[in-house]
Amino acid sequence: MSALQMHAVPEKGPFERLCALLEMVDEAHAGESGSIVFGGGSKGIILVQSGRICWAASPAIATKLSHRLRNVASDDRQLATVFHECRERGTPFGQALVARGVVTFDALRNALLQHTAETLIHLADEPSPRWMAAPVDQYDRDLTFPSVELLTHAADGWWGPLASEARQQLGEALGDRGAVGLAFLRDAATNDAIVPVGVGGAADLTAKDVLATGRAAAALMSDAEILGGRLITTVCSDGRTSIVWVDRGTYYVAIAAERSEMAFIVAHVTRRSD
Amino acid sequence: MIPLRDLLTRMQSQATGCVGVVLFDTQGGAVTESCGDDVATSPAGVARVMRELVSPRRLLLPDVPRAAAERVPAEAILLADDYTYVCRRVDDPPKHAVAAVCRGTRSLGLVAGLLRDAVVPGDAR
Repeated sequence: MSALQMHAVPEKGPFERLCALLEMVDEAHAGESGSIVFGGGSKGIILVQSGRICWAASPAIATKLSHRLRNVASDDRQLATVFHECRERGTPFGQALVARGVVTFDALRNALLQHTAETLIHLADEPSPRWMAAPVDQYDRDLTFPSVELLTHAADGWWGPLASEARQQLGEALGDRGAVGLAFLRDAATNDAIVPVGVGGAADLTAKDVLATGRAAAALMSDAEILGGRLITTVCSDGRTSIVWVDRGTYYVAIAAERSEMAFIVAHVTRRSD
Repeated sequence: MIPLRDLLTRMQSQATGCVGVVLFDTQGGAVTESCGDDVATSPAGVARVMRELVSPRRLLLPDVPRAAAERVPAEAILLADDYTYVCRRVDDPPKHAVAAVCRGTRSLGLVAGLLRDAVVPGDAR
């Protein structure tokens, strides 16, 4: 097993620290499997399978996953039995719980997502994480999380109603078109940080991709301020199109493979602002 | 591309709401030529902003490999409160772009099409 010393997360606000941690995972370990260890393991661990985060744990997190599952499990005793068996065998308990009908798949996934996001927020405060490459392949891919899903879920914890409204607006702008869409809030409280709160369309984007796109979009809109710009589209020679707009302080980005997608979105945004 | 004055006439004859056109250098952002309502179009301001929009940007495109994600836009459209700005890179003169300034957004597609037709290399009209 090899170990690689990673850079400490710089001093920032809690959400920015989480962004930095997830960007670091994306950048250094895209597609890899292993674990990120904090304080030699005593402060916590993040388990990564093929670049997706499948588990995070910290002794400082009071609410354990088993506590969360108790709220949604059909039978407390059976839940405890499955936990015990899986711990003894060293096997993932999630699949076993669903297979035995103790919890539904959706309830398990939601609990796991919430638990992982909360643990990551805590671990983002810890200094000097270390990457330990190792084979990890026992987790159901549907119960592992891309970094961007964890990031947007965590953002919900801070900016819930605003995030929800932004996602709704993004969904309406995209309609049933094939475009990929992103929504961002600006957080004046933390260095005007760009906060991704929505991802729409089929795209295999990482937190690093999404954050970079958000920053580029904000820079683009800033350039256009002198003319009072509120929507910008750019089209490359092969037809690939990006649309960036601002509506009530929320930034939106749509990326389409063809320029024909643009007309629908522009018409929607124009109607909304007229 | 066709002469700038002819481009403006063509735009206006199709009721696009076009009030001016600006040809500018995409390297330095200097205005090479402009015609139309200079007060409304503010050629220097248009050139300064639109130059940025047709510069390479790192807006990720999902089916493009990460390393190749940076692209130079051929066309950019900016919707503002009072005007719409439609801009397109041209090969002749080299390293230039032309921007049309229009009132409203209703003829956006038409303006983009006219601009595209006007800057086709080797256009003999």
